[in-house]
Amino acid sequence: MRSAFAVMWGAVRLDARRAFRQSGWAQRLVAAAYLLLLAAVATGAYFMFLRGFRILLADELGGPVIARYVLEASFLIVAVLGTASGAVTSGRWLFLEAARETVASLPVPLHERFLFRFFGLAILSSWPVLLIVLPALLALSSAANAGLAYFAFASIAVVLLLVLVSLLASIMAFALAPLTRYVPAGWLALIEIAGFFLAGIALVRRVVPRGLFQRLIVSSSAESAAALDYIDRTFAWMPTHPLARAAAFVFGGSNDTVIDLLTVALLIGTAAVLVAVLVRLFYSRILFAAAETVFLAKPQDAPARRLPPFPRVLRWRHGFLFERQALEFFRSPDDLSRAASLVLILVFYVFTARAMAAMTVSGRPELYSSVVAFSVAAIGYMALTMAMRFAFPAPLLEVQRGWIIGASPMHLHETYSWQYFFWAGGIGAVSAAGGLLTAWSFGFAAPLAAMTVLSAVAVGMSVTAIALGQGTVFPARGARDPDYASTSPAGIAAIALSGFYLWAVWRYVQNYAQVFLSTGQVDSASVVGVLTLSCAIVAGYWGWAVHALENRSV
Amino acid sequence: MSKPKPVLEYDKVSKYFNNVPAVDGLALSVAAGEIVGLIGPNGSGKTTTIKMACGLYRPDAGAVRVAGLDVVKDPTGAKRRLAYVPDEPVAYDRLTGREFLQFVGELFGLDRGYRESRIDALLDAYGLRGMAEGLYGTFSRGTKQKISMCAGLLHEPDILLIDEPMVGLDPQSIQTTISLLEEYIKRGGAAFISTHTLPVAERLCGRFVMLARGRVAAAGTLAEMRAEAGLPRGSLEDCYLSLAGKL
Repeated sequence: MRSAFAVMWGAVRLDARRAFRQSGWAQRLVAAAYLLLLAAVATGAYFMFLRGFRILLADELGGPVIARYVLEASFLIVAVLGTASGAVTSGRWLFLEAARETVASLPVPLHERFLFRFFGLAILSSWPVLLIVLPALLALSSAANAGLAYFAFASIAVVLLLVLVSLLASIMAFALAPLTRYVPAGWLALIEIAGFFLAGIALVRRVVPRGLFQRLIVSSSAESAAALDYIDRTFAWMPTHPLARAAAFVFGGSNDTVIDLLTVALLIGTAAVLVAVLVRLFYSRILFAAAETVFLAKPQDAPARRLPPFPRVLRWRHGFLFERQALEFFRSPDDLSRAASLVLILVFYVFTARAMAAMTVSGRPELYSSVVAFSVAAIGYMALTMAMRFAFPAPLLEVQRGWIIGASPMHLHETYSWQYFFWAGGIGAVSAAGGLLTAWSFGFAAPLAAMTVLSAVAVGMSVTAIALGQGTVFPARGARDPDYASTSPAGIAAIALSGFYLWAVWRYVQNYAQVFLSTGQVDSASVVGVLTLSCAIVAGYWGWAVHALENRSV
Repeated sequence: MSKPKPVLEYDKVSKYFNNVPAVDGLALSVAAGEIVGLIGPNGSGKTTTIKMACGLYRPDAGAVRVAGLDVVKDPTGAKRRLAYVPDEPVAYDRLTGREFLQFVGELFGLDRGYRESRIDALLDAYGLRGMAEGLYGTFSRGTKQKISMCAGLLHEPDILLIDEPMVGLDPQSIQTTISLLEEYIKRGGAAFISTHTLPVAERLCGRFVMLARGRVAAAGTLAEMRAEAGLPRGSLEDCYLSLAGKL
């Protein structure tokens, strides 16, 4: 008889095959693009590590020291990223699986049910291993002409790392489950991301102290031993330390390698026992709580207090349409946490770009103007990501609830206008903030700052018009989930058109910045170009969408 | 005595999907003060018929008039006089039940004082006043159906178009819905109801229209349906099964 695990795994494969058969060309294109991108990143990482290790290992004395540090840092970064990624998704993945009600009614042993989800969690958390550790270890083997023994140790190290990361993520999920009684899942994910962000900063301060490279550059055997001792002490309390030491087998095998792997195995065994105890004591209880309420372990909703009459703020003629959008957005923890994550990434990007620019292109107008244009394009990219996630599926959601407004004495084009005001207002404001932050952090002169902010706002409003317009004219009716609506042909067309538009804005901003940085003059033609192109897109899509809505059956 | 003026008229209406007729040359009317039941097998065109009346689908031929106003030529005028309650009460999950009703009140431009008193009265009828302060997305299907019915009755339309009014409702709520509809009809309203719940339709409706493949297969009062089916003492369900067997 097949085990429950095998039956569930068979169902997943069946689902995947069905999803592939039912997907359109656009979804397959997007999936292929993602796979190609992942393969390109992994290959790029491999060649980057290979080049680095070859240079390092050419120095017989100092090379192994720095290579060892790179391994320690890579394993640690991957463990933190994998655990963060696993922890953020593990709450939903372990306790709120889509098929939980079906599975709960089947004679599936609890430990097999957990094991199956744990297996999935390991796959979900494996991306940093595939993109960083695996290329690093393969590159090291090529650079050092490693033998079979190295491959055996490295393979075991990779598997142990994956298991360790998934166990840590599971322990975090169990530890945080009681909190979901008070905090919605989306908010909790955001808090976890912020927590890992702070923990990451603390770790970086510990493992990359000031003067690190002076300690790692050695010129004698004694200094080399001291540097290795320093690395051992720095990473000693990290669970990845024995794994990195095991992978360093390539610099000369020793009995320590086996001891290191046994140490990790013991650590993993302890974590596994802890997880087994948690599963036995709490898994069933949490699953029941999750099945009974929207949030884990939350008691049934008590009657809520009566709120003041709607609309509360926007009481003018059609303000209630705007206020409804706002209420729906701000009451959705998922939407809020996604938007907040995107804003965090934008802030992170601006400061990274600032640091890179300061190091490489300071005082070179032709390169500096490219960085300025790239910053505006990056703000546009973030605005596009938001527009495709929020504005593009909005008309689809409106179609699904079309009986409410469609059968009311409201012109459908008014709903488009208010949706546009809402999303363009929000995304435009985020873009404006991104432009201001860029101008402030780079220390732009006023004319360049004004162009940056103006372009950022124009980009935000235009990509929203493209996304909302495409979503309105071609609502992705077949999409089961708004999250996947952007992979429809209309969504891909919106992304492609936005790409062309962002390229054009890039050229205008680059031109403006180069003229200003070289001559101190304001290039009015570039300003007019950005404004004309953006206004044409907003007005064109408004007209097209309104025409489509007035001639549509809902 | 002159015949009451129709509040809903289908004038040789046709609707095609991919060149297949969903509704074909439909002609019927509903007068003020009556409830007409629209019955027929799955795929016979009932939902399409209802959706054309409330402006969600555009007829390919013919005209649909609400209170004399063409739904295509004067959509806002016609829609001001009607209300629609769908079979799937999908709405705004992150608004409370009361906020959703207030939103519908805003759509129809109701005075806020009047709107609040109507909402309280309708919620009280279903015993939902406390529960309606919860988020719509957390409600059961039955509760959503009741809130949708409240939304339909909120602005006291000339004609109420309902697609499957009783699905998901408990017996007590079915009784409440029937009472609310009867009171609404007494005040001069009219209702056009598509349903498969034939015992309730038999109790509630004065006339019936049976559709098959987008055309009227039979129409009339229960007595006329019995005569058509050749079942003098049969229930509406007996008549339906007999007529459906002949199609």
